[in-house]
Amino acid sequence: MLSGLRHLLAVLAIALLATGCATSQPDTGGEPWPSAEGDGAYEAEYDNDPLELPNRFIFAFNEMLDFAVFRPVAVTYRFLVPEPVRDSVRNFLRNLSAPVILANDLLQGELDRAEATATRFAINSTAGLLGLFDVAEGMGYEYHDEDFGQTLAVYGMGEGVYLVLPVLGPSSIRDGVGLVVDSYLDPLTYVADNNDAEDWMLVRRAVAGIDFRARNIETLDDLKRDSIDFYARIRSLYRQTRANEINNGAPATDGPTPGLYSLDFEFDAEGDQVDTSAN
Amino acid sequence: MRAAPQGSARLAAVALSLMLLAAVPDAAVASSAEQAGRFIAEMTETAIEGLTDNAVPAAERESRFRNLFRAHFDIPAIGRFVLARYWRTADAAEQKDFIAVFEDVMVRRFAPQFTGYAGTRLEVTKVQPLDDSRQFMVSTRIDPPDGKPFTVDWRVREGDEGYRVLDVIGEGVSMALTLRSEYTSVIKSAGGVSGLIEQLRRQVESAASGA
Repeated sequence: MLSGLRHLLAVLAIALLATGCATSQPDTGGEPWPSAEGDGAYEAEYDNDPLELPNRFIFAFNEMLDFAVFRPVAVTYRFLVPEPVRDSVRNFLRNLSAPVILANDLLQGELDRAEATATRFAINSTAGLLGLFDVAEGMGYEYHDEDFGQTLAVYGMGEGVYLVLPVLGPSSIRDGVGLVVDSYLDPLTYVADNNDAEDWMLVRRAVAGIDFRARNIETLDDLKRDSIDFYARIRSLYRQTRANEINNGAPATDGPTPGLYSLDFEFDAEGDQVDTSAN
Repeated sequence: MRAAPQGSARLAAVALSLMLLAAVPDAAVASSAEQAGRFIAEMTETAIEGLTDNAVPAAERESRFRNLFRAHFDIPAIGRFVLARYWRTADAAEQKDFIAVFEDVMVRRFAPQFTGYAGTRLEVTKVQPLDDSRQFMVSTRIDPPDGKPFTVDWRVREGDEGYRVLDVIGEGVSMALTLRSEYTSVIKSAGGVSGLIEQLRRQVESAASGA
């Protein structure tokens, strides 16, 4: 089952990589979001979503799946299982993913963060009873996530184009490739393969998904109620959140990806907002 | 001839202000940045004081928020940014209608958000001047009484009527950018700015009847 999923992802990623190369990002003077000048190709540029039509189709499919399966299961899970148990479930899953996080910390040259991840793994796997309790956090080693999509970004790879993956949701070519590579970086993949236990890898993914969904029931409900175009809002939130994760929360003021600090509100030198509207 | 003393007085005044101008630039920038930080601190203080009390009726809190929002945010500038290039394709009436309904959407959305934030502390951690010399990014750390602290960056511009907020960035997510992405997408699919205005009006109405 897992290798099936990985295979699907790999095929998707490779098929779309070709598209991504062909439609590689336009030159926007180094800005991820060009200012409001230009012709009709402009949304396509700053939303980086040339595959919008198929993406919207998959998004609608995911929404249906969420409505019919994931949200109800998440609501039930949160209702039936007490919070400390749910926290232990999350702690356990996080501890399982420590090797992958550590690998990516190291690949990014983030030695302090690598040390934190390694220390957490050592402490929580033992004193934390196989990861069920996050005792390391109380000792000053806080959890952080890291994945190969972020590593590729640190190496200078652009996101390619925005993608919505079936079941897995918002992604990009870069992050889709990252998902595949992460599964190869994970020692448990090989343990499972050698013991005919691939199904357990799928179970682990499913539980992680339910845990995430259960922690975001109200947030996602609010977001949806609040949107007049839920797809476009999720796309924007995903892309901004990823940019923030890649910078590890530091604002990108300089460097290869000037971020939110360089948005252009179009004030001219006199301090009037530029207005060339035809009225 | 009588103009002479007046003229020389004016000259002296100009000379004096030129001298002052030459002397202050650095200090002026520093104090502008400081003031931008204070502006945000005072605004959030007012918001936490006036909007977190559940005993105050919702309608009253909403009108308080609207006043605060109008006084501290450059709503037309945000509206133009959000519409991006479509601002220029809209006619004057559409521009006006959009700004009006945009304000309503923001008020409906954010006025009820403050309950539960009583006793929240806000600390200005950094004020950074931006490329446009009249704009600043004010970084703050918000520490609610229950819940984890989080960071919010405020893009502030010093205009003729004082400081105004242009954008709010929570944990790396920009409000202006998110709205721009969503609204331009709706404009494309719903037939122009008038289609967007219509959808936003419907949203405000349904929020009103739902509450």
